Amino acid sequence: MRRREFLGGVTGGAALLAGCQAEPVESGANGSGTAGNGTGSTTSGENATDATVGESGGDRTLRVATYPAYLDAPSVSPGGWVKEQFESTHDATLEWVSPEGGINYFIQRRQQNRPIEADVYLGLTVEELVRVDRELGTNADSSGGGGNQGGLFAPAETEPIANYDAIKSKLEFDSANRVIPVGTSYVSLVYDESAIEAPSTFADLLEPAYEGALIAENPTQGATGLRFLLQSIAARGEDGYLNYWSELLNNGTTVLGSWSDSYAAYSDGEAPMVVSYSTDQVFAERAGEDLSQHQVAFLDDGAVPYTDGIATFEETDETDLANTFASFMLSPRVQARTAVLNVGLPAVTNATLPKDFQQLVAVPEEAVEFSYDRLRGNLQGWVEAWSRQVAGR
Amino acid sequence: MRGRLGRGLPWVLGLGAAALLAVTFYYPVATVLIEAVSVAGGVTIEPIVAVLTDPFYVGWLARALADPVAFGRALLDAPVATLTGSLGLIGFTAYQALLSAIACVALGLPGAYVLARYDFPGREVARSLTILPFVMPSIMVAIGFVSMFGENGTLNRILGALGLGEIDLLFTLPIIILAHAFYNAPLVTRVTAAAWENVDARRIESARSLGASPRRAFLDVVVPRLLPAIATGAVLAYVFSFMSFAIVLALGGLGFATIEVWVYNRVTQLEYASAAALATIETSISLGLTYLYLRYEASQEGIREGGGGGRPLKRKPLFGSLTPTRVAVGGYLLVVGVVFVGPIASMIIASVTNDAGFTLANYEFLLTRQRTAYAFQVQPLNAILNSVFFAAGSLLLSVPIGTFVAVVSTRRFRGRKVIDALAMAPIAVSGVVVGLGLLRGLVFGVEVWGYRITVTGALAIIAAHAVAAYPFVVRNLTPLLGGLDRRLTESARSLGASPARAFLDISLPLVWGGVLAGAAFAVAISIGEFDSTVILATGTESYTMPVAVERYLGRRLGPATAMGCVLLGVTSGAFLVVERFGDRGGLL
Repeated sequence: MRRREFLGGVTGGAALLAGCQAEPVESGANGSGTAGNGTGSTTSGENATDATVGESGGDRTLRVATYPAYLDAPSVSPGGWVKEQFESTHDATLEWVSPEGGINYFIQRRQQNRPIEADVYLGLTVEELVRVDRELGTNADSSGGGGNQGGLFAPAETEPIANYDAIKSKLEFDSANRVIPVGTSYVSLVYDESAIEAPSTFADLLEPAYEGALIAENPTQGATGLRFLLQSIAARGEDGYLNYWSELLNNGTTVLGSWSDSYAAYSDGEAPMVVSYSTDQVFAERAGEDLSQHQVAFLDDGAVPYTDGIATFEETDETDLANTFASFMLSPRVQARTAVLNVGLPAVTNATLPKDFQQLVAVPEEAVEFSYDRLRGNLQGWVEAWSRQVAGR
Repeated sequence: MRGRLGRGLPWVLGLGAAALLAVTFYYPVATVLIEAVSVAGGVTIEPIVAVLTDPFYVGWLARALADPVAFGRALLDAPVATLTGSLGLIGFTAYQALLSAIACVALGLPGAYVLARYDFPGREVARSLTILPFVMPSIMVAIGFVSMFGENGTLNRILGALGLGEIDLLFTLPIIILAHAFYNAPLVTRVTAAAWENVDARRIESARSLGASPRRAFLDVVVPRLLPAIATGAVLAYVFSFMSFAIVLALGGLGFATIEVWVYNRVTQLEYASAAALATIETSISLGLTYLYLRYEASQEGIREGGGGGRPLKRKPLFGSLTPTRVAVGGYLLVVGVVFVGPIASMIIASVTNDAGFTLANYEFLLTRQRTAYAFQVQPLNAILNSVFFAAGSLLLSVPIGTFVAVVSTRRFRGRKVIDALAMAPIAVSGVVVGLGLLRGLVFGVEVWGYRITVTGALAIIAAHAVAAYPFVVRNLTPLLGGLDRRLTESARSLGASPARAFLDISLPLVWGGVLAGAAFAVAISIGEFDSTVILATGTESYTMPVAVERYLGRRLGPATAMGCVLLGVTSGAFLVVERFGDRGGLL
């Protein structure tokens, strides 16, 4: 008897499998950027008191794509607060979209000519923009404008975006304004002062005192590893960084995979120093940890900034609402709050951070900048050469 | 009714299996691998040639091809240094997989001996729990290994307390091999123990009555039945270690990069051609090895005929007077304690401790998240229910498909081992490539007659899990089916039973143990699966326990370890229930 039921279940399962979605393919709708740019209708001006509400009729929906940790981190993540605040101050619904693979997911959809199911991407970095343009054959000049087929992001009309002028100088990395910066932070060394003294230069790391002391990350697996590599290129030059890394590895530096891999090993005391964020003490303080194990060191008094921003998809029909969202995100109140929730720094000059928070965030004397243009031509080659050297040992 | 069932069943199963594999495996994977051999509409082998002639990938092989004379001279001068000095990425991957497979057999075989030949309280439970490493996401294994074998880990604390020195294993090749053994040695144990228990005691008795010494009887009767099982375990261990990726980066570092690490790097950079070329080479090696093994397995069938349905060997009590074997078993259990129990126990301890000592904060986090999570966040209970639901679904799909494929591959026809090897492809293709293929083939969809067909959500996840799982059912069943006495089914056929009816009534009950063993792996594969799940999920509503572990991984490991322990708890519970049920309700 049992066997009969068993087999019945099998065929039932096979029948269920046929259940999949089929949608008629729209003709020619997805080829080129269809959405017109905002026609200058100033919907809402987000200001410090944050009381204004856009005149958008009915319940409109803005689909915002972002990386998973923005929505679902075990400590705090800004996603929930941003959604509630945006919806309560605007007559609109915010829908989070968080596909595995992040920006690569959307690049691939564009490459395969599939519709983009989001209006805005939140959290775009310069290396990701470089990848978007490299893969889609677009660049700051051609995108969105004219004959260019199928870019991913449209240049923003910055005029209707409130508080846009307050964005810190040097944070903007796209001359076409496809990306509007909404947050920044720095990649630094985090070390245990009971075990070692802070190194102050790249040369220091080659000293016997730092033998086996550092854990770094794979640059293709995250922002921290990539930025530390970039800083070494700034310090030793394009011709010298590979030699430097060879010496660094000879001195026992370990390169693990993701930031999580590295930070976990650091937390367990496998090495007294790790490449991480300069906001580390904020987390440590919140978790009630001993701050001596969460000291921040900047090499050569500098650090590569980790800036991310909002970009509007070319395909969206909600350009106005997207601009409203950008205004909302740039407003001083939201800037201050999301900086605290995301444990980073605001992108604007007029956001007031809580005193204790500000004290715990280390800021370097010099921001080591890598422009979009410099990265566009070089990034891939730098990382490739470095990866081959490290993996080929 | 019976007759129609008997005649229709093979067709339903065959077509169903073929359709499922085509939609959720072969087509998606083909969309990716095609890029290794195509450029702008034409055919090329350039990406593959580029890999095979690059010293970075193939080490001395590239030098040998480029300049055979110089290489020959170097080989004569310093043979060992020339061959081991530069293995290349592919060579190193093969080398570490070989060491891992050896370690898996060394650590797994004694376990099979203990489980099959000794009786002790909790034997059944211990046997069930050997599946646990299999369901652990690599993040959890990495956490467990760091807290067990790290500089300040449990092992060093124990060694320190005993006044013994310290060992520094992290970021070395041995820790990677040990982690691969953690995953795969239990596989060797399970498969071999099943074969051992299938040995007919009467055969040993007749060998002994004919004057064979116990040693002779063991070598002539038991060993031939164990070898194929050991080989199965070793080959699977090799293939899995060969494709390893996350563990290598978390415990060893980029300096120990495998092919799969590189495939992943290429895919994140959207460099499809070189990713596809590497994955193609990787798959060829895995499948080639699988094929060789299958040839061997087939050659063993004759030797083992007449198995099934016999009287199993009587087990000895584990506890008793101190014999040399019992002392050795004790030593082995100590090793098990360190390598297998240690990392899991360390993780459980980590989930209930913080700097200050004992805490339940991490479990409170799970409860809070359950109550207050936003719709776009993962809720622990939903993740548990999804995991159980998907596991049940993929069990129902993979067992009949795996059984069907096993039956087909034990029929005698030309080229059957090729088909058998191809049926093993789901475990021999890069996980990164399968994920990318599922994204392109199922999530982005296929255009058919003006409609775009997409397959996502729960059913797609179940299908993907079943495809990943059914090779285990096949591998557990094929040796048993091959060993069956054909006269049994032949006489049923001569009495008028259809092939399907003869199989269901005669063969299946005799190999039911293998079905159960395969089913256990199917459930484990489904529960532990991560990559396909996140890609095919339509949102948080279809996230599973491993996804929750990954999402809860932050700057502090506590919440993720707590979720990891929930994963282990739920899985252990499920296995104890399923295997108990299987034993009582089975057809034996």
